[in-house]
Amino acid sequence: MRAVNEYNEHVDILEHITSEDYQYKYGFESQIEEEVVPPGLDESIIRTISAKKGEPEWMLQWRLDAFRAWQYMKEPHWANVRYEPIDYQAISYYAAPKRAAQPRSLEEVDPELRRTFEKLGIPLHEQEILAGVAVDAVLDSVSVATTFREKLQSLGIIFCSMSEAIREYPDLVRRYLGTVVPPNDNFFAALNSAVFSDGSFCYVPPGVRCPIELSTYFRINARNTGQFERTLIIADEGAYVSYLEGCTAPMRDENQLHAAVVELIALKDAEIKYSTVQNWYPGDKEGRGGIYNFVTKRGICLGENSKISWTQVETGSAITWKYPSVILKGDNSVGEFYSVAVTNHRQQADTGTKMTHVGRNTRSRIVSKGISAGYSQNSYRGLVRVNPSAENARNFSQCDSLLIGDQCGAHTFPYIEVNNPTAIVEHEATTSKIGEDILFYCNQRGIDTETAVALIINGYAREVLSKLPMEFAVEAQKLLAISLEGSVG
Amino acid sequence: MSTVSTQSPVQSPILERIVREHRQFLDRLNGQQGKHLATLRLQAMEEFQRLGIPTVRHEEWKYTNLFPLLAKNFSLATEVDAAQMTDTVSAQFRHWGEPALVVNGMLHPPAASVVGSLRHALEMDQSFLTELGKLAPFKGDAIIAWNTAFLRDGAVIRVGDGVEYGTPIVLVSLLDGRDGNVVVHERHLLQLGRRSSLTLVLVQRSLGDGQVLLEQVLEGWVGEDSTLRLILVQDAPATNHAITTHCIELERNARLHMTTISIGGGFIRNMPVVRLAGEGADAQLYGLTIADGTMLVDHHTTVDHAVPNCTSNELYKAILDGRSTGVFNGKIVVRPHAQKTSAYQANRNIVLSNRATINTKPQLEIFANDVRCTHGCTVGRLDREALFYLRTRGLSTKEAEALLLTAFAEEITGTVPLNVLRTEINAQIEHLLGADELA
Amino acid sequence: MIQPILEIRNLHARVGEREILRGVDLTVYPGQVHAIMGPNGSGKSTLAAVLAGREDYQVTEGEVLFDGKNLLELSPEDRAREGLFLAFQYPVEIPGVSTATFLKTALNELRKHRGQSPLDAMEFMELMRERAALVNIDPAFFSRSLNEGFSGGEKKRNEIFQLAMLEPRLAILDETDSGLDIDALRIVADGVNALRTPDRAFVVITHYQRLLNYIVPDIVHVLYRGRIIKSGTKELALELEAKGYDWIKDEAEVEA
Repeated sequence: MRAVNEYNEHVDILEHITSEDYQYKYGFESQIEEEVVPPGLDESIIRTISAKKGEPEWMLQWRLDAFRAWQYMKEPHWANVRYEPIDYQAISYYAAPKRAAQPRSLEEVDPELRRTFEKLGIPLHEQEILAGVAVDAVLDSVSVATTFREKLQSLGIIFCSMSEAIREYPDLVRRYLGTVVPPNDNFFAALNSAVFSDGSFCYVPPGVRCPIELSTYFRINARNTGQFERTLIIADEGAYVSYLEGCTAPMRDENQLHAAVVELIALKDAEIKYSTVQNWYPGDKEGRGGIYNFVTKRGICLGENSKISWTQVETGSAITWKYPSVILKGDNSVGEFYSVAVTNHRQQADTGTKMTHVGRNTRSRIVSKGISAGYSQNSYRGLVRVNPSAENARNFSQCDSLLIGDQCGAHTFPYIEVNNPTAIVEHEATTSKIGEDILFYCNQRGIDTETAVALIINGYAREVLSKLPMEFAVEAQKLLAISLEGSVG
Repeated sequence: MSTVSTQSPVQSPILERIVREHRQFLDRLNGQQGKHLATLRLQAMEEFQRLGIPTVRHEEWKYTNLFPLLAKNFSLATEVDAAQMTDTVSAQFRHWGEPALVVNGMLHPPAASVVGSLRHALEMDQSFLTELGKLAPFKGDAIIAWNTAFLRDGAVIRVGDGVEYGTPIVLVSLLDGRDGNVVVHERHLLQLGRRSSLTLVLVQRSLGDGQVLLEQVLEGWVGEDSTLRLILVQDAPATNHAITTHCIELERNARLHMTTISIGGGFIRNMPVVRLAGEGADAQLYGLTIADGTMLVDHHTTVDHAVPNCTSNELYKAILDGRSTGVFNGKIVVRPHAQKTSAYQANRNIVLSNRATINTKPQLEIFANDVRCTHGCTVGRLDREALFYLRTRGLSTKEAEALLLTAFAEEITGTVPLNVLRTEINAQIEHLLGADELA
Repeated sequence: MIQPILEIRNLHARVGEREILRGVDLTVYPGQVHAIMGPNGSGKSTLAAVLAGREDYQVTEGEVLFDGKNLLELSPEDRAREGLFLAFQYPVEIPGVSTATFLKTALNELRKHRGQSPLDAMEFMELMRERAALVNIDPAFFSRSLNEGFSGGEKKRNEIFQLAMLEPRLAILDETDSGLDIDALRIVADGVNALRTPDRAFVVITHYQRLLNYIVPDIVHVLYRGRIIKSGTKELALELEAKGYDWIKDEAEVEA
């Protein structure tokens, strides 16, 4: 799969170079490098962003509406998440491409990062891409790449950057953008709507099963989409798509705030599977630096018998604040949320899901596995709502917490709101630690404590990991082990 | 207006009314009960105004809206001459134990008992003031601030070291609604010494057709190796409303066994706050809601494991019919270093009607690693298999449902440690659920 | 001269303030099976735990040599890697970790220690099948979470299966017979017998003589109040079965 990813990145470059607006785009990009957009946020900045991206008037208006709403919104604060206030006027909302700052070879990359890469067993070439090393686009086999791209196209699947989609498929974008996460949905979603830089767009036409796992990996321009990514995925009637997000390796980033928005729309009989392995820079052991990951992810099962499934493995970021959610509107639709969230050192994670049952016979399933170590705080916050219209809705939730060490915290806040007597909602939660007896048993079989912890954690998270595509799961397992290094003994 | 308050326009008239009544209340007291108490009331009122009446935007009040209740324009209850009714009302409860009547917030203590009046205690000994608010501080809590601002009387119950008080104390809150809607504030103090035990029943009754709101705060200490059995019986008509705050602290090896039966009334919000402050302490909390009509019952529990080696267990059940609302918010806190904590919580709900609502929110905040903490929550209907089984044995659907619901409820009523009381409650429940008509 | 696998000299150990082992001496040679019997609370399981390196126990006196090396200064995992295996009286459950994954991790740690290359998935599966047949265990166990939902008998058989996989120099069986019915007992014993080799030794800890009908010991020791007070042939076990422990206790009291 990795090889395919790389090819596709190359394809993207090819596509880019051969496309008609290549000249314009090239000019546009060099223009940015000359111009520095000053930090701060006001309407003129948004107009500048929109103009630089060559957006149509409706898009600009959409952004401005979001910005106006944002100005009146309050930043949310949760009980177990603490951080220094963010100065929104100190952020530059249109960062110039970071190409100038890229290391020229792996030797220039942070050794700690390289050590992690090695542990993950990531091929050298891919390490370079992940670390942002300026790789020459040497194409090994154009034909394979072309075949791949042609295949998606022949199936009618649109998979491109959001900027491209706004230009090329304005009708689709206008029809669906902001329908699941309205621009004024919450503070960070509003901010994203006002200033989003880029992201992914995917449309799978009726009856088409996307034959490969789509990934942001595939697009070279996904590498530096920056702080405010916007993703929109639409599975039309009877379509199926599996989407893999983010990096499977740590990505150093000087940005402090990430406020992405992801919207999924599943029409009748459609299915979307969205998998994330998030491993942004968590800050150092004392909690300095690291990413604030404030993300809004939501899907809607719009049609009957549709299904949306979120799977996430969260090991990175200084603060994670995300609740991938599903609105179960179509009758018989299904929503799933599988999550492993690991926090260590001074990390804070507040994550969970919202399942809103609207249609009849809708079903949802939540499996959340939290692991806290060091001085970290790990919270599950979830909502299951059964509306009066949702006859025979079913939900099952399992939220487990595992504590490693006695300085961390694990918190569970499941909200359950039932307005229909035919609903059946079940919630179970446990909190426990890794037993001394289990560790001793492993030791007695020759397994040292650190390996034993990794083994136990992977067992604990197995139900979630098994939902990930194969090689994602393997890397996720290794990530869990790395994240918890040194937390025991 | 230059002084824009943080309160919403809706709440301002209600708040203003309370402030006005507070002024009148203080005027009527005319400096009785000393300067210190007067200062406490003023400070509490200041805090109450600062916090405002909690709205549904307040996380702790997300599912329970106080405003429709407070819009009933309760006026502050005044002292009534209770002499002639004391005996008749007491007689109704004598078979439960030893009744002590609180009429419109003023205690009428029985002769020769462990129950005294807070009013008298404060008159005799101002040092009592320092006890007030230790477990129920008004800072940051609007309801306790409200209570403290209007603090006047209540029961002081003291059980000395080594005393196992055999007869249950029945604290009857009698609210006089004959001249319109009234609100009553009660403040009770409870102290159990070492190796002692007590059974305390709290129950509410009203006079007349007016709407009555009981706002009750109890602060209770349970000493080493002692046991407190607390039973809250809420079975009054729909004109009766209650907001209760029961703060209990458990010392080493102390035990709390608390059962709340909420099967009657209009608006009920119960806030038990249990602090396990000594190693080996154990808290058992049980609650039952049976609601119909527009009744709202909110059990908002806090179990705070402050030290290692304590155990707690909570089981709350609800049966909701009509347009009723059930709320359960169960917070468990395990403080840093409270190792070897074992905490269980379960919430089971049955919704019978399309228009009934259940909102439930377990909340675990765990800061220690060597803990066993489990909670579970279910919302559902009656078990269809069981219903079917009973019908194959010749029961009608209605009978089968009544039987199953009664069995569901009796898991909680079975925890009531007084036989007489349990039997009466079961009979009431069978009546409510239509099980008493069964052959 | 043959070197002993295990030499325990005057071993004293305590839990907190309580001294449980009070001068144990024991020498085990390759190929031997030693049985350690004794009444409840005599220190049998403590001896097993101390040898395996459980941290709750504090060694206050004495020494233990394992293949000539000082066992007491090794970490529990290094003891295992050197070839000491403990079959637990109460094997733990590890949710989500399959028996196969667990054993593969353990075996490859051992191989690494011995300077061998790790087994790949195919080689490992082959070895699992072979050893499973040897100790008569159903390969369906491999994919199940380790001991989770296993019956008592299944857990004990799994311990013997692990023994077969890890091929230790010395295996200590801590009350492996407890909670087993006669059929399960026979299966476990057959497994152990199949694993007896001239260079491997067994220390079988048991409360009852029953197990020793199936695993025939070379030497039987009686542990009482933290010391071995009597040693003999397998007939000693039969005598204990017939007469109980009291006569030996009395002898010990007299001697003390």
